[in-house]
Amino acid sequence: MTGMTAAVAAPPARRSARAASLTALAAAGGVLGVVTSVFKSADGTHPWWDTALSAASGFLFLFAGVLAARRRPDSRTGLLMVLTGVAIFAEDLQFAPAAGVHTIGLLMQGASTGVLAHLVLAFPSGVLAGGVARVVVAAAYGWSFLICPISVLFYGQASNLLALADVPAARDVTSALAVPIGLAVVVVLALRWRAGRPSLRQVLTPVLAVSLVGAVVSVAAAAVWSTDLGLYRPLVTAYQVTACLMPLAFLVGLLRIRLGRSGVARLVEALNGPVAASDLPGLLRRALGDPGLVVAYPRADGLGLVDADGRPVRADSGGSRVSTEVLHDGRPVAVLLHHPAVLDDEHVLRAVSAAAGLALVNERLKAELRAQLAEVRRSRTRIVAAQEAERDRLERDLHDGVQPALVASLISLRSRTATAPDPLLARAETALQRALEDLRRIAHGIRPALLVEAGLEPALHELLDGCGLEATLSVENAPAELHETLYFVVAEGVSNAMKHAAAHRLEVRIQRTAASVVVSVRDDGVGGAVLREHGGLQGLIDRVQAVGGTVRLESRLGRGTALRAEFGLPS
Amino acid sequence: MTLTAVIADDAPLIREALAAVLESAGIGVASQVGRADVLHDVVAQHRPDVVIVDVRMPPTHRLAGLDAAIRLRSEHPQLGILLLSQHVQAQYLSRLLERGAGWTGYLLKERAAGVGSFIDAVRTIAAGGCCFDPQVVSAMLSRAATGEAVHSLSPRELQVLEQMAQGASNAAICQRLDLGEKTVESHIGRIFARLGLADEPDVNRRVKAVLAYLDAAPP
Repeated sequence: MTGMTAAVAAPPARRSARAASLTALAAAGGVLGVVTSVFKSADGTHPWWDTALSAASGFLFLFAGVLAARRRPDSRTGLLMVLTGVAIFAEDLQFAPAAGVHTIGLLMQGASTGVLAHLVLAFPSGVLAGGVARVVVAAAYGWSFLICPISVLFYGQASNLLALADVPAARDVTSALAVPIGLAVVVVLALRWRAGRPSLRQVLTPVLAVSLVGAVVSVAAAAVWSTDLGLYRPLVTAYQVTACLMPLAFLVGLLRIRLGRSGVARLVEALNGPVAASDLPGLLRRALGDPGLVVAYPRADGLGLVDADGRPVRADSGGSRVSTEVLHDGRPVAVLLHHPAVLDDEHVLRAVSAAAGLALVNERLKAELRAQLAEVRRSRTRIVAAQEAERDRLERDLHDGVQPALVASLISLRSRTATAPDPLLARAETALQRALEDLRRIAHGIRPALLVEAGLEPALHELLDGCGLEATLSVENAPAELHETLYFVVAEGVSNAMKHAAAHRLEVRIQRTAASVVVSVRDDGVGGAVLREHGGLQGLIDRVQAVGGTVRLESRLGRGTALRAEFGLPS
Repeated sequence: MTLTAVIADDAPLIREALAAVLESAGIGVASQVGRADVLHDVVAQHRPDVVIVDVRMPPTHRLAGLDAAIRLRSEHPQLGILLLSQHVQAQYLSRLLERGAGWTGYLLKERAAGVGSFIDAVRTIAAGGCCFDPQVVSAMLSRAATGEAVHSLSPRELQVLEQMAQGASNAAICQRLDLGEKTVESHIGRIFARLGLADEPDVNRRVKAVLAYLDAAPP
């Protein structure tokens, strides 16, 4: 997991110190540039515009590097640009009259290639993304600081203090080795451009365009190097013009990042107003230009991530996603699972994370709450299921154990009293009869036997047959786990109608839709019933809520009473 | 001729008690079973006059007894079937009564504990009559749209018919309604006439009258 957040940005003091040392480096580079330009013009081998163009590209890199570092203090882009400028001037040390300085210049003859390749492929974040880019940059550095210095050993001129032998082909071989490296840089850059989101493309386009032109020109120059067409000098000049355009291309790219940050500005603005929880991922997706972005929240107990609805999210789901933690007050409040390319705009990512931090804190708390609620619901369901299993067991024990024993005793007792009447036995018989009736009532309260044996509709018919009211019943198919609760809702409604409502007619309906089951018991009695805490209906409400349902009572004086319960069905 | 019975109830205590009551009344108990799914084979083997079946039994602990009884009825039209239940299940009885109410009875278990009426019920059913618990009768009446012919009966005639539905003999009706024997006979005659049963054998007429009353089948 990438621990990248606005909270870890360098403190301002260190940042300004870094900017100051970069400016100092650029100034030193500038001095070097003046010196080498003097060497080069005094040398007399180059026309003045050659000297001027080469110096201009070096100075432009220094200047643009300082500007870039001011604008993007956390990015290494500025440093790399300044180093490119310094390297360009270092290469020109070979025009120094003194043999020692000249030799140093020879050693540095390819210095700018490695740094420039690094700059191009790390632009704009300053960090190399991907193994291929790292290999190409390593090759470029190898060429600059290994192959070039080694080739110096075979440059035979007298001013070369390191010359071991004179191999005229050394220069050609060294130049030829640079060609595949340059092409590789351009190809990797083009691939990055193609894989990037529109915001990254905008930034890379000027650099890619200039690089392509530079690559074409330098390959062409290498091709005509040994011919007599007289094209070499113009191509070199064209290459030098391109080299001047390069720092400008980087500057334009950086400026475009600036423009790309308006997405962040819009996000900040949106976050200042009221934000619906469900809008936040959408805002972040737009701000980061990643339509597949997922916002996840770490659970307080550290047991993984959940989404806004409290459902578990796997951080490593789908290898193409990269996760970035968002910190707030040093604590992780959210994790953004996003496209790896979002990291190219690391600064935008930081800005977005910082802007969204507080909103994400709220969201994390809500997500946590939802996760807990879901857990409470699950545990309540488990409790209800356990209670139901217990009632099942109890009902069966009574029905299949105690009751038959009592009935059998009664039968035996009666077969004796039928032949030999005895007042004592008659009293025992009466007591046993009562015990049986009590037992039946108790067992019925636990779970009506008919509900177990024959199902909901027969049990409701029995209930309504026995109520003495004119009743209509319509039952649509409901899930078996709701049968008992539905039965007890109807039983409560019937018992209210019988006891308090002075009703004549009763209408019982169980309706099923795709999303819910609704049971209603409507009477034509006096009305005026109320739901009271601890009242007769409270037990029913508990029972209904335990299986995720809601109860409503409509009872206006003179308008009858309607008891209604609704149960959502899992979709 | 001695009657023989098979008892099907999952509670051994009740099987034993019922067997003792039956045997003390001179009715032989050919076999006792505790599961509904073996009842069919046991009846085929022993050919009893009456089976006494608990509605709720293993293997399902639901209406396995009733289902077994319905199957027995379709194979043995003249086998007496007495259902015992702990409560009234009027709505399922009509399936058992599709082929007529003869040789059929339905008693609540506590009623079966009234020894005399239990034995009476067994004998009535074995003779092709019917015997329904008063609670069952009232439950069925509350559900049935009773036919026009029954509505034309006088209140007294309805009382007599209700007694017939409970399996009462003429003498028992006389006693229960405190009426003279001749009066009861004339009431019954009028009931048969009103229901269009004047020319049928006596047992049949009684059963059909009860069915008309319960509206479980046409008279």
